[in-house]
Amino acid sequence: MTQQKVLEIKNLNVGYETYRGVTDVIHHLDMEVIKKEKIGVIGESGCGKTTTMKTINRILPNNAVIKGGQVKFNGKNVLDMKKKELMKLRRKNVSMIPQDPTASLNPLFKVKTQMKDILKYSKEYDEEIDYKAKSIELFESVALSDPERVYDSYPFQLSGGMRQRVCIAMSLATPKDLLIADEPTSNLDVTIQNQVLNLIGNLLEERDLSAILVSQALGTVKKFVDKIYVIYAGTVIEIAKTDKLFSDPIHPYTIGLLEATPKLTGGGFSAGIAGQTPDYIDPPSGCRFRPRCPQYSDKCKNERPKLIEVEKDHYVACWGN
Amino acid sequence: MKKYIGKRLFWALVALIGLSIFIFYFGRIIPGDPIRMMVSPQTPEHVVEELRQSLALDRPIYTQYFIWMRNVFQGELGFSVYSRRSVTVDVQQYLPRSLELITYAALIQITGSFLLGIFAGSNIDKWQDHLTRLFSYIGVSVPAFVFAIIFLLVFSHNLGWFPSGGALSEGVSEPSRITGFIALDALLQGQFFTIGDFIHHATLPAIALAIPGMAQVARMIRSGMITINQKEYISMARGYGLPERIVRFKYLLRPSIIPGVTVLGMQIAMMLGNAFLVEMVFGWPGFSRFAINAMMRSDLNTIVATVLIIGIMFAIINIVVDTLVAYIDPRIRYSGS
Amino acid sequence: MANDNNEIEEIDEQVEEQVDEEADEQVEEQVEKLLDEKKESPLKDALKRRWYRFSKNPLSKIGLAIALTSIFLAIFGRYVVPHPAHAGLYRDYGNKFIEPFQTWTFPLGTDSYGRCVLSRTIMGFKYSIRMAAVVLSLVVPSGVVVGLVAGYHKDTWIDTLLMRTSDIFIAVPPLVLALSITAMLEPDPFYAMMAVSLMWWPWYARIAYNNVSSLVNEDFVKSAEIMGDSKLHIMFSEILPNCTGPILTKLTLDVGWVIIIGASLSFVGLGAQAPTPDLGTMVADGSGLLPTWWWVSIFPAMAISFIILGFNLLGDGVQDAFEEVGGGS
Repeated sequence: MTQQKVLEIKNLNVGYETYRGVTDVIHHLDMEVIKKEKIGVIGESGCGKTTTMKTINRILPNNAVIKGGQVKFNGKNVLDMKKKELMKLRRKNVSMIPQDPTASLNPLFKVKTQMKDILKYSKEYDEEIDYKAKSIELFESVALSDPERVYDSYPFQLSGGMRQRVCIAMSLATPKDLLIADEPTSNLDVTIQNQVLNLIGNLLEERDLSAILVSQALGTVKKFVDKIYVIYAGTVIEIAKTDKLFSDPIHPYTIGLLEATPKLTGGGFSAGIAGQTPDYIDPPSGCRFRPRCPQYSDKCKNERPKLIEVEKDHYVACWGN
Repeated sequence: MKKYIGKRLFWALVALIGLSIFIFYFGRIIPGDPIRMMVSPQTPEHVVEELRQSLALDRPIYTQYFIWMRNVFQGELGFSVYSRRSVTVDVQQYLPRSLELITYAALIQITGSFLLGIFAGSNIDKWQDHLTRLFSYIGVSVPAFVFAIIFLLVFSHNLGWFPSGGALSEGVSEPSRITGFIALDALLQGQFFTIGDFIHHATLPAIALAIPGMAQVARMIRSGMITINQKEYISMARGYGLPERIVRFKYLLRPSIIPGVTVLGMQIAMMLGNAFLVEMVFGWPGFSRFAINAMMRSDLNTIVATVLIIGIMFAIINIVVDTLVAYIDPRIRYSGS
Repeated sequence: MANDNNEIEEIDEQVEEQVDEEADEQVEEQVEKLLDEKKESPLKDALKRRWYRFSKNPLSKIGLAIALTSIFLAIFGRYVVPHPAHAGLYRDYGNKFIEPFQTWTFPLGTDSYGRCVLSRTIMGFKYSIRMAAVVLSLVVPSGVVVGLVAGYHKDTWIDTLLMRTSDIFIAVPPLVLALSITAMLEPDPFYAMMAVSLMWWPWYARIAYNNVSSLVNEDFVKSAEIMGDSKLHIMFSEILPNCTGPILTKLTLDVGWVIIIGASLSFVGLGAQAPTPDLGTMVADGSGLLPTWWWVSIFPAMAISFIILGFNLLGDGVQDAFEEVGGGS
């Protein structure tokens, strides 16, 4: 155990209260991030990626129910944290690049107001610092053109790409231990997607941060991450080093994903696997992928497959092996 | 922004002119001879006819309307059958009293609804919230005149805390007229006892007027806070580690109050209507009570003037509120110009 | 005057039918929602979701119960009260001003003529509910049609004409215009209803208009246009069903508002006249007897508030049922 674990999620279970009962979205999920490691989290939309990420700094919506498990950050369980510790975690340790920059910026306040507050309450800087200069420096670091104008604008006066850059600047306002980018390009125009991705990649490189990159498509994160977690219906089904996963995928879902991603830009990839993500009120017993799996046995029906290390650093949760 | 307000003003004016045409025509086409109402039954026929001609009531209705309109622009609202003098004089005498009451009630309403709404919205599903909701349900469900009667019964008759009617106690004389507003005139002349007495008299009716709308607005602000609290930008603000008080009272509050402010304007405007009932119950010597009495005597000129005056106030309140909302929400401000 | 009475009776009948229908519809809806425990069709699933959202708040169910009770009493009031004869001109000075809660014969006491306050209050439900039913059954269809037509022809002269005309009637608070118009006519519940209806339809026109103008550019409307559907068909079959939620919510909440306005008109003396057990009229007559004989006005006042409370709670429930809330994934 020489490597320091920044994040360690153990047996996490999270659901939502709905009109039909409490859903069972995140199902015995395990994940860990070692210092300076960059991991990719891959899965279809609705498979619980965002829920997992929002559990890490506890910004889940009100109807979410954390049913059990642990989320340890630098050894401390986030789920047990008192308000003060939690605030410190959010300010100093975890930062998040949101999925939808438009919904993530308060429409009624100028960028400068929001930026200033983040800087001011980070307690990272003296009262005396020039918030404007610092903000513009941050904007320049995320390659925003005309930072002066951006600083003095309302979010609705900016383009989607600019908004996302502003969000990235905000999440980088203070040095952090872990950066979570939750599908940072899914709401952007295709032409801008690559720019923003490369920007995030460069920032990760420069600052040497631990990071989680969430995406629907394998191709998007390939360049930037060391290790990939494939998630299906709230459970991790395969973990492998990036190269390994591409060269030697084991889980039928991963194989399906790979077959379906010829392009870098992603989109429409799940066409390769028939069916859709399960109903979380009444998910399939045993292996959750069973109804869509090309080869399943009775065992898949009765018992939940656990992650097994099939070779060094390559884990798969499937009875097929 | 200016263009936006200008447009609102223009359409408000159009609506007011339409309203005046409607109410004027309506008053002329219903059965009944306005002249006969003005004079005593014994008046000889030729005097009636002379009066009819001098008031242009023998002319076609549209001519009558234009004559009336011209007079209105000169500040002459016509003769009141009820008070037997010009409606303009009545308006000058009674309107300030009503405006004072409504302003007082509006201040109570604004303060109360914001405090209650934020109080409830910050403590969702706790006792503070339930208490506020109970109050809002009562406030929305009980008509203003019922509040007036119950307040009169409890706080005036039973407990004796407040006087039961009028604007000033007996023996307290009105301050000499400068603006027509008692509180303002008394202040200008340093008669602080008069101000105190006036406020003492105005408090019950003002609260009775303020409560129904207060409940409504508090509810809007509460539900606004719930809705906005689910927005991604609020989770993100929390995620950046901003202190809860900043998230709540800055980033959450401002978008949350927008629907509340819109409704607040409507509610203040509604008070113009409820004032009719509350003034009646409390014997408040205001314009609404005067107008009610005139209405009961089918005093056409007073009715038309009342509708027009209240319409103008209504329009002003609406435009002020729209401007306020545009100030709070930059998206409206920028899309309007 | 005889003519007027006929008219009132006619309206009475119509109203009772409408009230019946309203109650039936509500019951039906409820049964439907309760019956489909098993999810089958998407429609039933949607209904079930609505019922879940509606019933999540117990207050909504209390509101539904109060509303149904009020409608029941409005229709059958005279058959359930102890003294149906006390509705009109009835004098029994020997029993006047009996205090409430003293005798079972007059549980809520008697008024200055010795009439049972409880009986009169319950029989008064009819006038309040009738007011709301007549006004709303007039204004909702007419307002919605105006709004649909105007919204569908957005930015043409039809839009301007219709919507600016509707602005006229909401340029003053409804109570003021209702008071003025009724005052120019005669004090009479029929005129009161017409006056209130006249200034209420624009609100429905606005709701329909706002919904339509945001829907007109939606794909399903465009595709219906390309398919060559008639304007009427598009307006009523494609667009109208999409504004049901807001209209239904507004309608339920408006029952309370209309009852308040109606009671206010009666209170001032411009609604139903003296012997009629109209709740507003009773409060007005009784308010002269305060504070000694408080029960004569306070119980009818509480009854008005009770009805309005019921429909407000119900309206909130309906709003919850139709509100689209986005959930996280």
